[in-house]
Formats: sequence, C-alpha cells, structure tokens
Amino acid sequence: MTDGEAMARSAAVKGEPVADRPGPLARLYADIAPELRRFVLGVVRDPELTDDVMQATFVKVIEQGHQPRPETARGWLFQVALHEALAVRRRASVHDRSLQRLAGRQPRPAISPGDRLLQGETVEAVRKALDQVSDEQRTVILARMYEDKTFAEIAGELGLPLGTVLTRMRRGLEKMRTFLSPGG
Amino acid sequence: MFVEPESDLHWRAFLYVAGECSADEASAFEQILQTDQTAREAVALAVELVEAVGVLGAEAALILQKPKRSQRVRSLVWAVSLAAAVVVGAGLIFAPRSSEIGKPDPSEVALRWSGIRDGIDADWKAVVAGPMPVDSSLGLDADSGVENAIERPLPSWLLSAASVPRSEPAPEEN
Repeated sequence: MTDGEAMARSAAVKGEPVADRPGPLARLYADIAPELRRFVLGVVRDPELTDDVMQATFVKVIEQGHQPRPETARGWLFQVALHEALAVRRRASVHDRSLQRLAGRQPRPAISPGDRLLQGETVEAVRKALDQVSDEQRTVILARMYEDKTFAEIAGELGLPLGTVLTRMRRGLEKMRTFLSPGG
Repeated sequence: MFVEPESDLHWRAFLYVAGECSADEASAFEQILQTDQTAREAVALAVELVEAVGVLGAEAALILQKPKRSQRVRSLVWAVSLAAAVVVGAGLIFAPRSSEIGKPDPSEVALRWSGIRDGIDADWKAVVAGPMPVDSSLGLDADSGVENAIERPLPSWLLSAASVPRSEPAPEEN
C-alpha cells in the first residue's frame, strides 16, 4: 500500500476531512464525502458498514489510478460506492435495521466545538422545518422517524387508513425538504 | 425513457431508506440507482432528513408528547362547542313543545281569566271607594285641593234640588 492509499484509507475510516491536503483526490473527498456517506448509509443502513464502504470506495479510486475531475467524478464515485455497498450488504447479510440506529441515536464519538455549533444550527433548522408542517403531518413524521414505528403501526394507533398516513408523511417530508434546502 | 417526477423519486427514496419497500420494490429501486444520479442524491437527502430529525433527540419526544398550543386551543374550542351543543339539545328535548303551547286547556283558561277578572274588579272597587290619588306634580295644595273637596258636605241648594219629587208638575209661568 502506498502512502497515498494509506492516507486516503485512514482519512476515510476516521471520517476526517482531507481538504487541507493537496491533490484532486483530497478536494474530491472534501466535496463529496458527506453526501456520499449519507447515500451509502441509506443503502446499507448500518454506520459501521458505511465506514467500510467509504474506505473501500476511495481505495478503489486510488488503486485504479483514477484522476477524478469533480464534474465527472461525482456520478462515477456514487456508482462505485453503490457496488461496494451492495457487495458489503450481501456479504454481511445485513437485515433491515431500525431507523433509530440510522438516526444516530447510538452513542457517538465526541464532537468538536465547531461540529457542536453546526449541530445546534441543524437542530434549529429542523425545529423550524417541523413548524412548517401541520400537526397531523408532524405526528406522523416524528412517530416514523423518531419512534421508529412502521406506517401500519401509526395508522393503527391513529385509527386512520394507511394511505392517509402515507400521504401525511409524504406531504410533510416535501415541506421539510423544501424548507431545509439551500434556497428554501 | 420514463422520467419519474421528482417528488415521486424522493418519496420512493424515503421508503427505500426507511425499509418500507417490499423486496421486489427495493430491488427495482436499486436498479434505478445503478444509472440515475438524481435517485442516488435523493437517497442521500432522505438519510439527511432522517438524521436531522434524529438530531432533535429528546426534543422530538417532547413534541410528540405535548400537543402544540394550537392543538390545545382547538381542543378547548371543541369542548366548549360540545358543551353548548349538549345544552341546546337538552333544551330542545325537555322544553314544552309548540303544539302544547298552542292548545291550552279551556277549563284552565277559564279559571285563570276569572281570577284575573276578580282581581280587576277588586282593584276597581278599591279605586272607586278610596280617595283619589293626588299627583303632587300638578301643583295642587293637598290641604285645600281635591281630597278635601270630596269630603266636604254637599251645598244646601243642591240637596233641595235633589229632594224635589219628580212627579210633581212644575209651576207654569204666567
């Protein structure tokens, strides 16, 4: 393993930004890694496996000698990550895990003051986004995302048809997404 | 090539991330992920949204447990409306019906009327027998006014005139 590979692997495993390091790979990582990591997490639904996939993806970039350009590398990197994610998931026979775990309620590593500030801003933004949706939509969103209930369970508890619950969730998510998007 | 509407894509991405898809649906969506960068980004966005709500932590639980103020106000309005409806309903049920009001018992009416009439007669007799009320606003002196005039004896000429028998023919004038 070369020094570059070791560096990329170490950074990918630790989740550290490498923007301060020279080279297109470092810039690519800084630009894409957060979103790519969320994508992989959505596919494998396991934070530890996500770290493995991120590491494998960037190692593959180095091994293949790919010289990524940001305008073309994005799609290519996502595709590589998807293949790695599906392979890892097959190997690990990962079953569906709860959204609670996805939402990161397991113990997390200590966060820096800067991250804490960012998290505070996120909390405030999410709080405002939740204010944008109706009471009915908010109930469904939190029950699904925070309490990790299935839509069928929520429908049973609220005494509503499943379609109504799904519609409330969908409309609520659309409002939140619009509000949280940069131009929202 | 069929292009899925953006909102549908985001919704499918959320269902995929949330594990709400069947195995076939998940497999079909993963086929889309092989080629569609927009779908991949939709998955990343769905995860971001879930993580963002997860960041709320205990606050989300509080929001779930405690209804918002608007909900409480709405509940109060509902309770008041319900109470008002019950009162009005009870009034409609227990109040005398219009048919009962429109058909009084004739004997009861007669009794009531006779009572009223007796009362009127009694009042009238009292008025006739008693002294005339004096309205001080008229400016009359109570001592030398109407009240004393009633008690004063009739003048003699009037008594003489009244004692003349009617059958007696009046004297003819020459």
